[in-house]
Amino acid sequence: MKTTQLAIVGGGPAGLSAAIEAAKLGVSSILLDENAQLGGQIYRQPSAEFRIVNEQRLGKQHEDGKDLLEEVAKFRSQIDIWNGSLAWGYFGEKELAILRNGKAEILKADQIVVASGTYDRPLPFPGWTLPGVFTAGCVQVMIKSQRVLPGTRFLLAGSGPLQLAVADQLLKAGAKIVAMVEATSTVRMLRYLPNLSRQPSLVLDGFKYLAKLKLHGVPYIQSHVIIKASGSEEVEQGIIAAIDKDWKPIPGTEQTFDIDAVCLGYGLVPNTDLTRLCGCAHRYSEPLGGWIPEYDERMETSVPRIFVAGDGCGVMGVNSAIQQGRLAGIYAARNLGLADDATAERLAEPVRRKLRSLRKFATALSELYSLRHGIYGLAAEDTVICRCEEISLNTIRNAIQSGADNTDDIKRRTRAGMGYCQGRMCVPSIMAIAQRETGSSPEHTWYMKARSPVKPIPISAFLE
Amino acid sequence: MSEDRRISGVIERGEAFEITVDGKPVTAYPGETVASALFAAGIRILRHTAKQCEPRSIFCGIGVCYDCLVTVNGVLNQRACMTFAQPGLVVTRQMGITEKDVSLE
Repeated sequence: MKTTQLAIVGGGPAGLSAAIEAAKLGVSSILLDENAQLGGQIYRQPSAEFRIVNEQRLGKQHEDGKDLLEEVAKFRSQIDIWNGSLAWGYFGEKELAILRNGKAEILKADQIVVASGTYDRPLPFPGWTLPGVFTAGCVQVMIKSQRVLPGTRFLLAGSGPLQLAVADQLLKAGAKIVAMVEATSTVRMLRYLPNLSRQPSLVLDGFKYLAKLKLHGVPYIQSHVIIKASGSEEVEQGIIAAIDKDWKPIPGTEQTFDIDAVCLGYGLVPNTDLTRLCGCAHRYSEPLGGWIPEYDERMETSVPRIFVAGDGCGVMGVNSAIQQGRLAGIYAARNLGLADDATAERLAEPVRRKLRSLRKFATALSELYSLRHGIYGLAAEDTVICRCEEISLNTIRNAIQSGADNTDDIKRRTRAGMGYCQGRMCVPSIMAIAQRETGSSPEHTWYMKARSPVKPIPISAFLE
Repeated sequence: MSEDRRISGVIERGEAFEITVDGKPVTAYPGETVASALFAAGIRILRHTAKQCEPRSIFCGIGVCYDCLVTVNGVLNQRACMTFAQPGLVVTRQMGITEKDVSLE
């Protein structure tokens, strides 16, 4: 068993910022991340084995990420980085179970920061499991990190600004975009514009991206969603339709595109498996992405000495993630006795001020693009909802009608959520389906109980 | 889909090597995942599901969805998006449970 003052799970902007801030106050930490490289999703760097020959073309996010990583490198003697390491369990008393170099081990920490980030919101519709249908995050990884185009003719569909950035990257990489479909209406966007103008540079970026779409002749179609992807073994066609106020498709408005790739960007879901496993109290917030851990003004959860930071505790974007990470780092050091209360407060005050000003923009953005529930009606009776166990809508609906009205009971009845992904891909949709069927609240449908291991690990990990 | 899907410019790759996919050679470069090497070669169907034998591929791309599972050097259910290609790596695509032809480690 290895021990450490501070264990940080997740090497994205929040985790890295926590590590830096804690190190400044003298804390030694272990930072673990499942990926081979640090940076998380937003600061994802090209594969380490690639030689970068044109740095400028990688853009501002790459620059920002590089700056943060350089700062981490300054504290190398205090921050022990465990790449390729998965935190898969928690056994109380701050003992994390880790899979590292193929072996299971226990990491006992005095303080823990969970900076687990997010993933793209899965949104079932007929054909969404076909090869060639990707999430926006997937397309970004392929372009930003792997430098491989996952298709040639793309249909982009979703809600939110991430899609604009992906479109830009796709065009730069030489892909053809047949249409960009945005569910949120123009009217709604205009209503939120005043609050969004708090971060004028980001709004400006948005307009720049739109101008670029126009320049490339990409139709930007608002108040529409993708309702079907079809093809025999891979996606060949995408069908879109106009939607009403509740985002229900309007019959007779369908348009079909010949494509070989669909990129879906319906916002992000916080990764809460570890905080749920640790027994932290959670609350439901639609605009922040769903179920999120509760935390106080120090970023400490209901379980003392377990902190959260970044999109994993509510989707607020990279700038907020950095500030939250800093707060968690400061107070972890304070808990360790390496900073007195006065010092911690003095350091935290300007960070909190930044967070407050960022919050208004982040809230406006997430409210603007939050999904209307009609979109969960896109799935047909035979559409697979649980991709791992291949459980379709009618099976889930039958279970609900026979009394299984929360996600744990639906799992027991149908196996939905029992597969390799442990419910990450289906539970957000199952919650919405159960709510639509029974009129119940998110508090009633709950989020399936998390169990160790939160991700599959091989039996060989336990062999000597 | 036979042409190389690698994006030119910005980065340079190291020396190419071969991996084997269902017995056939596929070119890969250092730093590429199994998924990328297959995609670059135009192979996007990574498995067929166990129950309904439906085609699947990468979906989330970040190791969360477990849809891109392949058999790597005889070990079942490895994520193609998280597994790095190495010279001589043997990848087998899983074709539903009824046609299972894999050796358990």
